[in-house]
Amino acid sequence: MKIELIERIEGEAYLKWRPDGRPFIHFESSRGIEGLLKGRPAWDALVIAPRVCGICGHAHLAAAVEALEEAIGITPTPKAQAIRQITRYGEMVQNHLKWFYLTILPHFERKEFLTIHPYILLTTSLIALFAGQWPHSSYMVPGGVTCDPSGLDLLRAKGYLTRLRRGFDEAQKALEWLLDRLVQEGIASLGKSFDRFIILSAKSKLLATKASRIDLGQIQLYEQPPSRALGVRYKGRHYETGPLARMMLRNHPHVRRLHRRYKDGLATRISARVLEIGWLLDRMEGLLDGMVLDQPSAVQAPFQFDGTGVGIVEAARGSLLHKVEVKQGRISGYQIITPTQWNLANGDEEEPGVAIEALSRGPKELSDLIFRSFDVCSVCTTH
Amino acid sequence: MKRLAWIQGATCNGNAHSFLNYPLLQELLEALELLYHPVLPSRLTLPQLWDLEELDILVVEGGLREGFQRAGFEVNHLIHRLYARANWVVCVGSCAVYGGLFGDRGVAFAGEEPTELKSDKVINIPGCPAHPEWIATTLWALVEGRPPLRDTFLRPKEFFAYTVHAGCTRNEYFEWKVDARGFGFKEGCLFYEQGCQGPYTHGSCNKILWNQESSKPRIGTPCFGCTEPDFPKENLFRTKTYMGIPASLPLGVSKRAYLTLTGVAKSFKIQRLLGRLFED
Repeated sequence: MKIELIERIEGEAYLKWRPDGRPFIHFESSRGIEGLLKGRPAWDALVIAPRVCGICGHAHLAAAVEALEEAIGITPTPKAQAIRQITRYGEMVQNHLKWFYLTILPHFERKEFLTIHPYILLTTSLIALFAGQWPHSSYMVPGGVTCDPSGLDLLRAKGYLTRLRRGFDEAQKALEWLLDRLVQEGIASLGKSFDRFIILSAKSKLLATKASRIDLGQIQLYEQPPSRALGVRYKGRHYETGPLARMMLRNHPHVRRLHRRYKDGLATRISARVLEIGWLLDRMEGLLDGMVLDQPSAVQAPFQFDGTGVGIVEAARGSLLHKVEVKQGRISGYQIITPTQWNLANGDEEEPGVAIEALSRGPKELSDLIFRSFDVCSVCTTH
Repeated sequence: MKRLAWIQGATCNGNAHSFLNYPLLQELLEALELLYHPVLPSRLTLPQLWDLEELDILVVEGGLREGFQRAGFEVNHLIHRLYARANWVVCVGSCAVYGGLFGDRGVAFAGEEPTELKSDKVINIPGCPAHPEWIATTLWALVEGRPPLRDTFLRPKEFFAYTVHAGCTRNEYFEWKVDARGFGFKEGCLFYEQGCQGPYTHGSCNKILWNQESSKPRIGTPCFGCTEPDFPKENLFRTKTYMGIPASLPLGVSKRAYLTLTGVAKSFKIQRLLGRLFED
């Protein structure tokens, strides 16, 4: 059995090739954060859950708070929802920039992370304006957010956004260059999988263009020994989640155009993630412009309650789900399903996982790049 | 040039990413030889670290856990091996310092208890995550051959002689004992009701701001005491009180001093601090 260690994917993973040529993705360890949450006061999830992941902890915070809100039966004010969305989008922007400059471009001998670094700093400053810090803020609480921004804070945020557009321009230029390179090398449509997507926050799945509703009860987690990570499927089948899925659902013209030519191959999957930065910056600006500051930042919520709740948000790498069960203010059950668990599920011979399918189609020399095109998060997978 | 390897035990990668928030990252990287970092491009692969003969600075992120595997090694073995070969061992984040959130062991401490690895070559930078300036400035100090003065937990005094309370924009409300009315207000102190641990937590979050911008207490989130060995305590958004008095008092302040001052401060009812800042 041939074994490759893949590093710097927020941890590591092993890619093992079976004698019959099928790959298997293996994670060595897990931390057991769900067990850690059990028995704790419910609100403590807002501090513990973000520690699933150092790069998308904000998405975990958002999923945790939404799960608690459903359990309580409380809705945050529109202002709080807008602020949460802005900082979540900011987290996605820094993620996509890091992935493109640290994971993809170096594969093509472009090692220029430090040129984009100032923009990553700006993104985290923008988040910290509302969230206090990044990584590992806990500023979303049941009922809203803890911050109380002023009109000048919003202007400051807009200034950051304006500057960030230059960072996006840089990334777009690099993307154009990369697309040419992929075409020249004849690898733009490699890395294809099932062309089948799922977006839990929109409660829809897509088969290239047809969308249909999904039923959360049909999500199945399964063990895949000896790997320590659980795989996940919907009604027995595997779906790709993440920017490509979202940009297809949004009918983003550029991504749709690439998809017509290369399907869910490398060119489309990589472009979707980079181009989503522009989409996110536009939405952030709209949210800032539309914000009504005289609404309360938070509706006051109880510490003592019983209930169950599900929180679903789009994290940088795809759909993220947290499910909580609370009895007398304490957590009696907690479950987390992360995006990489969808994309990197192994499956079996009849129903292989999404990345497994892409890797099986080969070629093997490109398996590292194909693997990384999914923006794998090892720490999330092994929570 | 000083040779540095950054290795990880059981971790969320939060410190690796926090480090990336250091504004002078380029200059620091030019002053070091980066042998390994979990996110940044560097010279060696993880398996190659096993045979690394000498290095100047070993950075450890994440807790030590029996049996925890990484790249085919038991991480504890790799950490012990490189610990012996390094001149300095910088533990970043509360997991590497004390064991932290996942209930593991730190390098030089397990909670408050020293381990067999506690020695003069360890520098501890706790926090969940550690602040980028704390990490980077410590590394600069070692590059310059000027190791920082440390406290009993081997934390650089430069950053940890302060409390998180120092520099908080809500200090006036603390002085006059005006509490926040709930979450989501720029007014009021979070120490009395919302669980803020700033007055008894070592750190400089309100002196050296996060992301050049802010801090948790400044935007209305309580300090959770993430730089201390007992992080995370329970009920992080509520102040534990005995007969209305916070169970944990500001560092070094006696209950008698606290009660005397509180009584006096409260009696004045400073009108300016009782209303909303931007309302007439």
